[in-house]
Amino acid sequence: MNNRLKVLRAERNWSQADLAAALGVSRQTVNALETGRYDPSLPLAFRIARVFDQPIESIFSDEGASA
Amino acid sequence: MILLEAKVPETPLARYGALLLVCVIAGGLAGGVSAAFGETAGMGPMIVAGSVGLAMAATLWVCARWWRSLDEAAQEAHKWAWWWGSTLGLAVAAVAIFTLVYGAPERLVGEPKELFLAGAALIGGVQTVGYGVAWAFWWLQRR
Repeated sequence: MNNRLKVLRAERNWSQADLAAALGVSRQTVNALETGRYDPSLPLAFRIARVFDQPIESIFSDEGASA
Repeated sequence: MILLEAKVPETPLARYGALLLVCVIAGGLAGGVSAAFGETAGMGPMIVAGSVGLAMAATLWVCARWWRSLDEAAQEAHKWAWWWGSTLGLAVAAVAIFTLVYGAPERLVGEPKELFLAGAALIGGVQTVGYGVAWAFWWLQRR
């Protein structure tokens, strides 16, 4: 799964810790999400979408990702 | 009620510390009570089962609070570590135990009680090591 978390966060000048606090997760989890090595659950994906005020499909995509 | 309303510490390290502290205190109390009253005529088994049961209940209660304080990635790391690390640890411990029992029984000297507890400690210890290694591996892969 690919995502635009890092770009969206950078656009807002947020640190990983800022995003982690907004999502209610640890900074390590934000890092794992940004590197694409951890795929969020559906509830967390919705939380992320709400924090960035964007639809889920504009943040996450499965193009080029292995099944 | 004060204990029931106790806050979960903020930082992960403090949470681990609190969890460990409760486990050590509960285990120490249960061990102490078992050692002191375990061989009391008639009531011994009930005292041991009761004290160890209470210690386990307290530990599980703290574990449940700690678990709920983790985010989903942290929970996933622990689940993965429990399955792969502890299972691998169990397999390694099984090899060691069967090798000792059938390959080198002359090394198994001691009271049955001591041997039984040593076997349990061996399995638990190796599983814990496997768990820790697997947990670290999960996070290192996602840095």
